Amino acid sequence: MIDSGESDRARERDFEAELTLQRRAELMLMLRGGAILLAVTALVVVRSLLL
Amino acid sequence: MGALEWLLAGLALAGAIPPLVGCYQFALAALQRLRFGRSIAPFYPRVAIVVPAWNEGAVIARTLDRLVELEYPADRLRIYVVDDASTDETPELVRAKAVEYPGAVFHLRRESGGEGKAATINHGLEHIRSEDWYEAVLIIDADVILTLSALRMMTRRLSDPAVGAVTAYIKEGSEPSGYLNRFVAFEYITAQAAARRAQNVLGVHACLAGGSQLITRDALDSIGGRIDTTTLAEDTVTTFKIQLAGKRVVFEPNAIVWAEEPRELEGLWKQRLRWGRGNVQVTRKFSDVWLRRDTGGRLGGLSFALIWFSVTLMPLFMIGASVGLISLYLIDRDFSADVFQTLWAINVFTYLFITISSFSVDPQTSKRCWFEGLMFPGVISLLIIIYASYPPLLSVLDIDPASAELSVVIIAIYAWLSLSMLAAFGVRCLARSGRFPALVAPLLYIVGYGPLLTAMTAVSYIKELQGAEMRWDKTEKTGRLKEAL
Repeated sequence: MIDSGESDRARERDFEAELTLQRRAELMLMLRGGAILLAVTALVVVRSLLL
Repeated sequence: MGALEWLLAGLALAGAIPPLVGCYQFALAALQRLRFGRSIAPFYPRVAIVVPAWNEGAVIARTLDRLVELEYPADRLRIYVVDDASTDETPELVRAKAVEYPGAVFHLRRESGGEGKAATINHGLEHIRSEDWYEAVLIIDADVILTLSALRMMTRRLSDPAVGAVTAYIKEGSEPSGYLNRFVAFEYITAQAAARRAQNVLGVHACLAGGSQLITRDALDSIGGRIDTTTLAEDTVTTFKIQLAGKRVVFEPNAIVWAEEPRELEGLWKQRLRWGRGNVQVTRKFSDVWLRRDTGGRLGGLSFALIWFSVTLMPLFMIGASVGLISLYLIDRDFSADVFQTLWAINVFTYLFITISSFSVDPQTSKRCWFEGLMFPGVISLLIIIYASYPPLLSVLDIDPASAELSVVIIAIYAWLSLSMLAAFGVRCLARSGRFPALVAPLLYIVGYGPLLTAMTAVSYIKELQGAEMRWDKTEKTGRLKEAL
């Protein structure tokens, strides 16, 4: 458990750093999602054109 | 082309709705970044953790040790184990922990139990409400292991007063993991990490994870201070009621909770049948919510209805697709081939998109279950996907195009969407019989885990129609979890 007397400022600094990392992870997820959507769509379109 | 042909084509193509809705959810899930972090701030309310426990001797001590280690202020955390008249060593273990952690762990004993999990939770809720200390309650299963930061990840969401409840990301963490555990691990990426992110974006949730749900005092009061005991889906009812009371429910993907899921098919079948029946009961109980914004708020939106019914009506979609394709084949073979190509082209797209996206959403879990992710639809469906991707492949079978054999093969392919459910049910019957146990796993890979889930949904409707007895079967746990410890 956390010591209740821990400095609020230190706790907030850690919190901000953690949240920044999590925001970055969500951004990467969004970019990868877009790339996957484009790649799979391109694959299906190419397959339709070839057949 | 007559109206009947178009009607049958529509019926067949409706089979693409569930996978397309799956893609829609993954697309939404990726957009969570647009909202993530807006209303998040450090927040440490007084939390009462309620742990319903019936014969949890194998796991309860470990669970309590982990709870007191959580990264959370010690003076703002109390743990209440509601012992539902356990007959094993659970009472002694909990009492020992109450002595070891005075003021943190409390043992609440029900002398006459057996009324189910919801009634046990209500016993705990009644107690903590009478103490008047708590500001939020965390309800967890006795066997789950919270990662050290999980609770504070959840409570930071409560800094937004509009939020009434937060659900964690439940991950399958059995060690050693069997094939079924790995299928469940992959399923949870789609059903939790992705689907619940999507529901965050939509601003409406179907279900708080039973294994770990944080509810504010206000939200609990707004639903009468008790958990529903009239259905088999008390978590879903709680989720609906909180949202209908005007509070938001959110999913916190960084609050990771490890759970041990069934290793045997029979255990999984019982668990999912309970969930499936619960969903049927919820669909009926909230009949005035669906597609009605005036009474259902966001629960009454089109997107939420698509998500809910693409799961609960999956068996009907699959049967409709098979009936449509086969009927069309008997009327107009060329047109049926076109419709089949369209349906399965969509299936190829959705399979690739959902599978690869799942690996992207949770790469860590995907490392241990990537094969089960690829095999999710089953070998037979994958062969059909390959055939649909390149139809000339059928020529390798060396069948005369005008022969009856080809008709049989094509009708079998068209029927597989429905037959796969029957086949999955057959695998379950084989597992239940105890005969040829070595065949169960390979057969499940051939038939598919997806069809197994659809078969469970179909049987849950049948059980509901039969008015079968509602039973809260306990899922047996061994206490073997890996990542957490």
